Amino acid sequence: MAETKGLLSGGSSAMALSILIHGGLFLLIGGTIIFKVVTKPDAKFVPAQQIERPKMDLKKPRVKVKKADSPKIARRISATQSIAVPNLVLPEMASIGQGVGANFSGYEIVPDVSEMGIFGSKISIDIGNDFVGTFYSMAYDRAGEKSKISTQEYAKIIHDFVDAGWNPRVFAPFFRSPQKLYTTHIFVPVVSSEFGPSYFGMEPSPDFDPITWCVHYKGKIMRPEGGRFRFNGIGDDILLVRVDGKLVFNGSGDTWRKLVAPHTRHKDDNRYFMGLSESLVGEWFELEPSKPVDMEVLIGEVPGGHFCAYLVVEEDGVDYEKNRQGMKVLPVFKTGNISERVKEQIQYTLIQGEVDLESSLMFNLY
Amino acid sequence: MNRFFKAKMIILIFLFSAMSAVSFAQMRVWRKVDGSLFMAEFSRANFGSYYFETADGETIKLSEDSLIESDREHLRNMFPPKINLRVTKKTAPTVRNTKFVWSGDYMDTVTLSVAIKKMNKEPYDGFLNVEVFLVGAEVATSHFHMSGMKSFPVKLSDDKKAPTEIAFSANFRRYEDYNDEVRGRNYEGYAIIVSDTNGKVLLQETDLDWLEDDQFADLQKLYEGAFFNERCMKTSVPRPKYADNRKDL
Repeated sequence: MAETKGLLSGGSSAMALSILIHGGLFLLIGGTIIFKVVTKPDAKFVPAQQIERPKMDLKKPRVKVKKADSPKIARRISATQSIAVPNLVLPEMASIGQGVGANFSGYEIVPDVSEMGIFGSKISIDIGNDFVGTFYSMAYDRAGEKSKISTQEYAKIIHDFVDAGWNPRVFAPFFRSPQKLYTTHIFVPVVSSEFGPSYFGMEPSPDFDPITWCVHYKGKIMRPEGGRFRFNGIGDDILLVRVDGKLVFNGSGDTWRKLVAPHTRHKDDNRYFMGLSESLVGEWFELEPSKPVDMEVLIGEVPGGHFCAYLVVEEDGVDYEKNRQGMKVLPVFKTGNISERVKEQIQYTLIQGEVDLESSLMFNLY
Repeated sequence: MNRFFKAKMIILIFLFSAMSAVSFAQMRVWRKVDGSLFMAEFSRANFGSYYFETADGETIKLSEDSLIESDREHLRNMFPPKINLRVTKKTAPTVRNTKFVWSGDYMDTVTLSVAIKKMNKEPYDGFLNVEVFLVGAEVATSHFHMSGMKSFPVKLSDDKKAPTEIAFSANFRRYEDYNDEVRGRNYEGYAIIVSDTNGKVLLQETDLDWLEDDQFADLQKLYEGAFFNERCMKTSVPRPKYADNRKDL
């Protein structure tokens, strides 16, 4: 038993030593760990380094979007559906063929460039750069009945429109075509007034009088370099241009010029032939560099017969080639390139050397 | 059985690929209703039987109902029948509002009706593409004018008494321009191209005596409103003459 005690006694010393060693080690390791835990620095929230964001040259998307699909336009079309337009032939769907056999139709589903015309195209071809043209016929009221207004009354309506700050509400009592046209040029060569409305869907027919109509174009223009410009041209019968809220050109034919809007007679007015008449000269206006401004054009026909709207633009300080009459060959007003097909339509009735269809002068925003 | 079938298919596809490489374009693997396969080129159909030529020159004759439906349908769609065209032209003054038509201004509407008749009995489920061209002749110059062109997808009628018909119109106007020049065009003639779904031309027809067979394809390159010459090459637009008398207008 004593040995056992002795053993226990000796054991207790060894155990005490062992406890001391292990305890020391435990404290040392534990202290280190505790120390590490205690001394762990608080997380500091450092603001993230600013990332440089390079500026990208964003290009205007060249996606062809059928504007007629937008809800705004669709609402207008549905409104006009309630208008009774007896005997007026509405625009033919270009995608529908004229086959007489059962179940046959043309397969040109997507409108193509063949739909581009001198008054514009049925779809937007250059979004942001194009002018939107709305056709009105004062020969018919909004219900499609003949309005029986005289040519003098028509001139008064145009005058009222100009006086009202080019407010199309003045045309509200009259027929408005549901077919709008989109264009990047405003230049209509000499055509029979009978066919003008057909571009907006009013097909020539014995029941449609192609008189006292007008087209109101709205858009924006810009020149990156800015500049000083003026319009030249001639409208048979109505041609008015407003830039940034100011009337800058009354190019209406002589009879109507003084009736529809104010104008200042220029020394070069009626000096040179242009189309079937003599050209007129507008007021100078300035464009600030890269600043888009609103522009509106009103073209119209009064009694029927020939129609034209020659709108060319002159930049101050530029030397232009002169034609056989000594008239400057000025660029056609445009905000985009004119398609070859439309150029050809223009050229067919355009005497060579009266205007410049190929100039690079454009008033595009994008 | 299934493994055997797969192996057979692989061999046939391999052979088919090899044959394609040596330009046996019409070679095809056909399947009979009993499930067996063979590779051959379709030769002809006659009295309810199909004839095929193998690569070895062997002729295989099968009754129509020996082939599975999808292969029979393929034959019906891929091999267009012989066709015949009957073309009639109608010219009438265009209806206009005479109050606004000036003297010396005439416009006609020319309507071309084309009846397409299937000349053999074999069924054909595919579509044909019928292209109609209406050509005008400029009165002031020697230019021709593509006054109208349109493509019609046509499904043939099996009823011989009621052939498939299409109609196409264009306007032809002559008028005195503001420079006193008579301009516009008269109707000159038509051209028609019928092709199958693969674009293979089946038939060409025209009443234009100057239009050669190999020039039909050139018409297809033009567009409505284009001016062109007798070689069917696009030309520049004829411009109006300069006029000094415009002060009177």
